[in-house]
Amino acid sequence: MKMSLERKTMLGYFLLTLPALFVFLMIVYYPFINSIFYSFTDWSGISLHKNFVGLENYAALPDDKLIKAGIWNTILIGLYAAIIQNVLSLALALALDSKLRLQGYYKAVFYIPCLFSILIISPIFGNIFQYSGLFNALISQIGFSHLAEDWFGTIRTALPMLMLTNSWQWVGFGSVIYLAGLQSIPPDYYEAGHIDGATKLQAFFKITFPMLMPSVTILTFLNLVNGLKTFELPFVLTNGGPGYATETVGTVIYELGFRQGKMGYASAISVVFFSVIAVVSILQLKLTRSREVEL
Amino acid sequence: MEKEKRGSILLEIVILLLSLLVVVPIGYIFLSSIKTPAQIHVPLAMPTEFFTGNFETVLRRVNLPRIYFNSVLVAVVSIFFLIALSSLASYSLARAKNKMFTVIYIIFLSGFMIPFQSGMLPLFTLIRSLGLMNKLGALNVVQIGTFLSFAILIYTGFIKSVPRELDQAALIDGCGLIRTFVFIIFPLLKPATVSVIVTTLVFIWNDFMNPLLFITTTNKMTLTIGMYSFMGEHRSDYGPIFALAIFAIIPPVILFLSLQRYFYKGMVAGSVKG
Repeated sequence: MKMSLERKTMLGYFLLTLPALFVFLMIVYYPFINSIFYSFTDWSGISLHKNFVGLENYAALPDDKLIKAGIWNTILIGLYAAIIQNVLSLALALALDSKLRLQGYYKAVFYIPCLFSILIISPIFGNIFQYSGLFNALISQIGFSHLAEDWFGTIRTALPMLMLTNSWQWVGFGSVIYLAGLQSIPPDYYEAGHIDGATKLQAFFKITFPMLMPSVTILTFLNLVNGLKTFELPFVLTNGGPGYATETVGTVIYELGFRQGKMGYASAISVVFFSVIAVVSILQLKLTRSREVEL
Repeated sequence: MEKEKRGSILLEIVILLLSLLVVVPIGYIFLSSIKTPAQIHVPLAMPTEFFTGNFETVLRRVNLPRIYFNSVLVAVVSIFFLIALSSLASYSLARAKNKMFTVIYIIFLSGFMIPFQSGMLPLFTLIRSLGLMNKLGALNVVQIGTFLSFAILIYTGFIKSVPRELDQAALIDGCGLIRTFVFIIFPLLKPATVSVIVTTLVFIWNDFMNPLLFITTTNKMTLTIGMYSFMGEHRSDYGPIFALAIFAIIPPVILFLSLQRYFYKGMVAGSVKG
């Protein structure tokens, strides 16, 4: 009698997960598994015929200039976000963690950009940093007109500008996460350190940083993965250009799959891309988790 | 002491100046939206009058009430079903002690590792073959699927902190599983529910890729696609874009300003588990 009741409850529990599981498998797993399947075919995306071509798509990837540029830019954006943007967030959080009159205002202002759509950020930055834009007008006012540039239209500056635009949107978000971490460190720890004669720098590396490790883990991970997934910003703002200067893996997949009708080929990149994201996520989590302070 | 005080004032000034990096571009949107086309090309010029032409262009070229309604509808419907599906599933995942449920939980969480772009092409063919092209339902189902991993992560963690005795007592008294969940557990999950709402709402409101892929007719457009329609390959119509941008900014910013605490807390809750 008891056994059957337990079994009934188990079945009930299982039924409750079914609707979510169904939608999830349909929207996330089914397309993903199909991507793997398409990657071994020459499908155009529209035609009724798909021919099995084995590893041909994968073999062609390393020689494709567009793909190489996309992968290289994506790696740069990911590393920039995980390291430099992350440090900027931490620095801002440390500054905000002191007794400031307008702390509430700063927290809100620095957070607000992450509420904006790429469709708002792109025209703002595209407009401000165009040749006849606000930024060049400002630097000309203070005598640096010779530095004026079409910032998103020049191969040398387009990618760094894209990274900075990304940072404008996300640095504040990161700093709010760090700030929460900082404020949860018990003040006694600093007092004890102070009594033992620790300098401010020592206190940061021996108390603050280790205690902040869980936030560091999550933000490094978030920044890296979101950096690697960068897609909408170059898609809307620069369309991958000038040349291949701001192509990312995301824009390359869209370009090849939807615009050039090479579904099979584009799927091969998707699969490689997934593998990279998966390996990076697992590695990154393992690496930083091991350095966390256990409380 | 005196030195420390001076240091803190200096820090305050530096941060105040830094905050201008955010305030100026936002102010620039508002100023540009009331500039005439000629003034827009002179970035340092202040608007001399309140020019309404950009707003008139927006109203003429897109059906603003309609696309606003579409954006709101997609957000509300998606989030309603997201919460229903994810909280129910999480209840089981948090309560059932069985290997199978651990596996299901891991399947959901593995969604974090699958980038949108990896499934983008087949997802497009799936939606097309389901006959959902140009239906707002396509956006709903994709949004729900996309955010299930996140919502289940938040809910499962939260439900584990709710004492088991509460629902066990109800179950033993013969209250059904769904009734127990709806009447006893779900009301206790308010903080998690608010976290899920504020976090996903902003992403769904701002989503651009899904409407770009699945919506081509003008009366099913969402706000982001409306803005995109003013952007050209080489030349963008900045006046109307900025005018429309104001409409897109206002709802999330108001929501954020009135629920700030929940935004910050939600982020922290989401970041604890990773």
